[in-house]
Amino acid sequence: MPEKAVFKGSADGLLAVIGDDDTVTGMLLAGCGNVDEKRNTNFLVVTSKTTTAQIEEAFRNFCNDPRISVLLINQYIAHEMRATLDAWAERGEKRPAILEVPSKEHPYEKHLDPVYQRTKLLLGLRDD
Amino acid sequence: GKEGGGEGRSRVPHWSSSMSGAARLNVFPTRQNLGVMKIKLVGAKKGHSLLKKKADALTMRMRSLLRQIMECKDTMGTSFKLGMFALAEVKYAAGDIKPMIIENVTKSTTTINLQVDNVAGVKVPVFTAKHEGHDVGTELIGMAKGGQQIGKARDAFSKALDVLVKLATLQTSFITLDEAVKVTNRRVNALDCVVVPRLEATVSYITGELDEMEREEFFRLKRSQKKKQRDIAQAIKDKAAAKEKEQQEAANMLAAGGDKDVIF
Repeated sequence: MPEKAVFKGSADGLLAVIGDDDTVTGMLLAGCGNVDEKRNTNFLVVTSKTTTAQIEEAFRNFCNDPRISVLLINQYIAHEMRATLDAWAERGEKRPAILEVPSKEHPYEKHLDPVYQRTKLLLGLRDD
Repeated sequence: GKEGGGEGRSRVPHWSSSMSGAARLNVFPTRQNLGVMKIKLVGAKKGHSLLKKKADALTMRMRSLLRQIMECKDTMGTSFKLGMFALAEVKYAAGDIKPMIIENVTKSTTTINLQVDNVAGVKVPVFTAKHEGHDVGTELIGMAKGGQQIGKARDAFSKALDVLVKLATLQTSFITLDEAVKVTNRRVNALDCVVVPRLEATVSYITGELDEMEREEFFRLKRSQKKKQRDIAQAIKDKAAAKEKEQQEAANMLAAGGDKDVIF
């Protein structure tokens, strides 16, 4: 059976962000923002005017970019592209590591996080 | 009779052929093949126990990960909340700095380092974040006002970043181990339910055939011995009969009347 995505060490990964302006600003403050020679950024600020197509395109670009090791997505945005994320998970891709993070308007909701849910399922915990 | 699916299934009940595939391997029942099959069987059993150990090790490792993941996700939620508060304070102090920060991004000062760890033969990632120097673009933003708040916000988000990197490690390891456990369990089950029974069936088939051939040999041997004995007995009888006939003829010859005269 062919092994999927065997890990190889890498030393210069980037952290990409798809989120609202507060989340992106915060991450930029922490020093994650990157703009390369081609003026490509590793973040996408999602406003009320951003279309789903733009979000999906950014997601695809970040996934295909080999430099990006971790991708942060606001939970409420991840929710809108749940189908795309599920398809990505089905394919068993491991890079980048996709993390769903809360935003200012939408605090962290455990029961919407698929990894959290699966974790809970495997531990055999019931909803309290 | 007991019709299975085709060749090699003649001795298997019909209800098991769909579950375990071929009931036995299609080989000639020779002593050499018996040896070969026995070796394969030993190998399959050894492989099964080794894989089982691997699956157990992976499962154990995964369980310890699960608790950590849940805790880490909670921590992440909290640290983000703190970061957002800090940003709100910056807004009070320095106004809306967001566009400025976003405009002034240049190169990332944080690099994510990916190392590979080995857990029971499965390659698992370890992410670490390296902070190198200061982002020249955003460093000077707080000079006018609100520098302290900006610094605090920066710290809060740095902490959040560390939590996120740890979470990335945990989550990706979890996904990797999850998959590996599934694959290994599949193999364990395959060995347990298909390969080993198939080999065992083949071994017993060959043993059965060899036994039957031995019994056939034995029977043939007995039969040919009996035939030889019968032949010998018959030969003796014939000889005795022939001798008696000879004696009889001799007696008849003497008892017969005169011979004709021999006239030249």
